[in-house]
Amino acid sequence: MNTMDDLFSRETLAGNNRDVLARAVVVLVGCGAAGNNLAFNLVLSGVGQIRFVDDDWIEVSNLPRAPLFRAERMGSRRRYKAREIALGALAHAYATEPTVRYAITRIEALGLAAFADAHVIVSAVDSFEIRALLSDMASALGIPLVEIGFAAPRGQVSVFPHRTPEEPDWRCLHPEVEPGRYSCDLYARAAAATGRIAATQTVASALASVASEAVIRALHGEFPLGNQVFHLDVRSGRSSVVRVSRDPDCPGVHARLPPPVPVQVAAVEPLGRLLQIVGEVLSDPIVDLPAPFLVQAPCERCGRPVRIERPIWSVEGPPACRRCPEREDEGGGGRVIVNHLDASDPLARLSCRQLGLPAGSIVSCRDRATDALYTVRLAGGVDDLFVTRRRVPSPAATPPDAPALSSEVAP
Amino acid sequence: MANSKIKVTFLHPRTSDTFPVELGAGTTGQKALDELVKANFIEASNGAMTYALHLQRTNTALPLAAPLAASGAEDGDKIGITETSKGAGA
Repeated sequence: MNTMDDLFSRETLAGNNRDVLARAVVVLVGCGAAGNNLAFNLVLSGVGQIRFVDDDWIEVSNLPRAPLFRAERMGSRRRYKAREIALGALAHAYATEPTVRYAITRIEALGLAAFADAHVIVSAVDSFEIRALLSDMASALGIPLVEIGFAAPRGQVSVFPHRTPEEPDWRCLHPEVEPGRYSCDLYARAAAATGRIAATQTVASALASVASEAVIRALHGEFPLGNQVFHLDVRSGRSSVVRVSRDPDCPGVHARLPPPVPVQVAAVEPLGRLLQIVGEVLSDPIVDLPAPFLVQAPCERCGRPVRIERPIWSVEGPPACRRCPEREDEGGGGRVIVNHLDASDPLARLSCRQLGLPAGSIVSCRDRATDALYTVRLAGGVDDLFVTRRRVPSPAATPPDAPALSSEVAP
Repeated sequence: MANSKIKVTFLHPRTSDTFPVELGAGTTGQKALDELVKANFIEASNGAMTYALHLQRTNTALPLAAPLAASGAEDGDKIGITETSKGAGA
């Protein structure tokens, strides 16, 4: 009878420890071509748990670069990338008890709880702004970050171990990040119009292989590509590796968050309750919000103030009054943004979730007088943030060749 | 020495073309890239990618905001230009 040892015999010879990989938790942000090829490699290699994050739909043109999306499931219904990649990954997983989790949302909506117990974070996104955010999260938590990006036949993989706060991070290389999301689909159309080559499966798989090996090595505590960037042109075969040094003016975090103290405050409860509890430790506490919170903004037609009360990343486009009268140039409703709140602020009546602090959030609180930092963790965690699917273990010591049974747990 | 100029050679990211220049002590990596774009040595960075610089002698990345000389570039050095892609191939 074949055993799990037989299944991974070659990988074991190559230095992979299947128990280490089976216990591993990898968060993979971005479920396009890079994410697909990475996840495919990781589940075949026996990684036990991958968490997928993406809020985008699948387009038919994604399929030639996405081994984990199944064309037969496309049909007329729109499918989310995060869900389809998770289902595809589970179908190919060779870990004994594989788990996939997925969140169809923007990364900002998840907070640090989605990452805090992960062993590696992978950035396979199409935005420098989100890369910077992931770099800051990984740096604050001391979790290795593997980043991948490509366009046309060229791309790069960079690895930042974050073993100490003094080590370089992705932002040492990219201190200035222009805001906004970049669209691979729009780029592909523009590239086609000008005769350039958009992304292809060859560059996706080649770079994802390098990134996957970096993830696997990181799970073993090894960083052969640590603090370096690997560049590859699959068409010419040219490649290079460049070392990244710490930039003393880096705008990145370069500091660890203190271990958070658990508090029995749910994300649906008002922030005021959290401040009340923190007030037992800090005399005059304020909570640092994870993202700027847009309180109000001027109506784009009349200029009058429109109440928004949402994290700024979740606001799309300029607001408009519901019953906007004719234009009044003297509306006078400027943008009001807050970055931190105290108990006296009327906004403290809003729930933690409304303020951008989801379940399990790690929240930085400071004492106004002394600036002492105190971090707390809201109730809840990854089970509240992700849909979870697990495969029931196959008979002991037998490779998973029997039909898979699975259970799905939604938050 | 702070005011002295250094002669360096930039290497094209995709071809074997080179671009020798004389840099002032305060020329930052970003300023150098802007000048290389103006000189049509490289294309302006578009929505899909941005540039990074590295010192070929030490194989280390050069911060774009800092003067190249202050980051370790010396007379006669070759400075590689690499493209960093934003996309992940949707």
